[in-house]
Amino acid sequence: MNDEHLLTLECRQFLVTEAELLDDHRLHEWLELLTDDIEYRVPRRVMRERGAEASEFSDDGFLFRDDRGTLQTRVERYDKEYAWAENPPSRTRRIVGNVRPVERADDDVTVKNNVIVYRSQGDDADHDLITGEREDVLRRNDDGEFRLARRTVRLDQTVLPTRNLSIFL
Amino acid sequence: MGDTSNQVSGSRDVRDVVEDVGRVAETGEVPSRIHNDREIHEVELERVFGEMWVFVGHVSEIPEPGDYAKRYVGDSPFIFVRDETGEIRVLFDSCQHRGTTVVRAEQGNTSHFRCPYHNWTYKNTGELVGVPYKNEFYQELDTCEHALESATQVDSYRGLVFATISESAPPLEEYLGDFTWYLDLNLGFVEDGFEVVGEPIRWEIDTNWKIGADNFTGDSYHTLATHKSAMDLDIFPPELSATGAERAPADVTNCSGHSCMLAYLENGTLTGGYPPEVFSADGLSADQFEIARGLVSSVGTVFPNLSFLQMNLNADPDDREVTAFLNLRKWQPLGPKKTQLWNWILVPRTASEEFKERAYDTGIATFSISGSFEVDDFAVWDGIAEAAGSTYVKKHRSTSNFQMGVGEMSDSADISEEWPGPGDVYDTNLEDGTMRTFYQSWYRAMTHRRIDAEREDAPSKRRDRRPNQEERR
Repeated sequence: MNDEHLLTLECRQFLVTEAELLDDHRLHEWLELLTDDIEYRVPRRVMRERGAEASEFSDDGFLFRDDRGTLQTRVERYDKEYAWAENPPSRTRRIVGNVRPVERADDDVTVKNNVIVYRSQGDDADHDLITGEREDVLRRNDDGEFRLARRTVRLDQTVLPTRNLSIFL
Repeated sequence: MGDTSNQVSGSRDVRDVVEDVGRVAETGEVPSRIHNDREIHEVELERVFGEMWVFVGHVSEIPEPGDYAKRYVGDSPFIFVRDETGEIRVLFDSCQHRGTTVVRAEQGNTSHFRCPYHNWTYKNTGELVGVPYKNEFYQELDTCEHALESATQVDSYRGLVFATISESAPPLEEYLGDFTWYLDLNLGFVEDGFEVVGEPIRWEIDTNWKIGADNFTGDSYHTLATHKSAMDLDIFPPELSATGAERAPADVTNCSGHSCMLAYLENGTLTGGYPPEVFSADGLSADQFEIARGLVSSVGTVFPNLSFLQMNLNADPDDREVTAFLNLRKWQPLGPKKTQLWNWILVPRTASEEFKERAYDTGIATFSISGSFEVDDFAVWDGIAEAAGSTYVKKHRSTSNFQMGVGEMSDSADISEEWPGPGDVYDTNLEDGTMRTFYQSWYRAMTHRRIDAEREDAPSKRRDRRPNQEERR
């Protein structure tokens, strides 16, 4: 197995572990996987004509544009009994695939991956599906372990098919 | 024009339900069924969304000639576009040939719209300029007769562009009526106005459009329960909330058919919010400016489905500051139990880039699809429609309660006499009159009356005023 395969496996392992924490609602442990200077962004996708000058992914419009502090605030709110959006909690299943490291620089690895988030919450058989491509920057800490330093989620939906985003993508 | 009688169309059952809503001012109750009923939804499309003025977009969304965005009035598709001369138009998105939509993207910039079916081509003014093989096979077609149609009336107020597909709707200025006093207060206290950041965030929820529209007229009561977690964490500092001792509250009801709530700190004691340098007293009365300067929270609904909100919130109380922003919200009805939300965050045009970014972040972290306030509302509102659509509700004629402030329910006082602005105004945010106004307007629209009871008999002057230069900025 060459270095590239090893790196891909290592990235995949990180992302799978992260998905497990989110699916299991272990949000405080999830926060531990983020660097202090994390940039967490979900830009608004805009349906544009082919060849349009402006990007399909907005430079100014976001569903999330968070740093560690705002993420922490969100997580602390979900601890509260009165945070109705997650009480009862969403049942989620994140499938992470097509993991591909695309760039390495010093301690950072930029890794693209696709995610499908299945979510159900109501008292019926319905579910929501949210899908997208994530571009993540994983950074090694002093112990050589990866931490998430940057995430950009490029959604496939322009109009979101879910009542709220009280979950992380 | 369809049926113009004051009787609502539909089955007798539905007529009774609508008539019950008409008594909301006295009873403080509305039949729950109106929040999820197929027949009522269809009548609404015709009588509410087909007759009222509906918000289309903000002028700052299409700053350059050729900028366009696809928008909807009820279920009718429109193109919100700034044409090559700078004029803002709202064109029905349907080719004059076979009727397909000519805009296929959400937004963009173009000098022409070309229909994909047979390549009929229109300038961004709507003028038909291209019909393939016209000289051979369409020799007598008068292209002047086949421009893309404008919405029946289009007008704007302080940058908010509205359209109506009704010929009999009164002019916008008359439709907004006295409520412009509150729109001025919310939009007019900053130098050079507000601008939209990014594109509106859109998503779909399983509830009725009226739930959000009524909630955004006021309902400070729910804040204490639904949003308790946000208050516990100081995202909404409790001293600024409805129970805060320092704030001066006012609920504005019966204001030309529209309603809102606001609360402010007197004598300019509010710090934070907007940066001091963006404020400007020009264009507001001294009273309006005094209130706007101390505004801690303000929400309202322009009937039927445009809401606005201004609050001082904090996305990260440990590290950030309390920050204000302006939120516009459109509740687009897709079905009796399906609503598409359109959410815009606006910031003062002259604020620093640093402030604009912080204000936007505060907005999306609190009042948008992932917002800490909003996410909890949606967890509750689905349930209203779920129960409202049930056989139980029909069978037992269940009602929803909007009685706070009716009769002797509370000690709140009518302060309309001393209050500087229009409407029937109360000295509390804990009353339901703002929501009763919303349902009263709904009843009036559903029975083909004007929503402003006081002007109903006044003759309506049809006007086709275009946005003037200042409003276009």
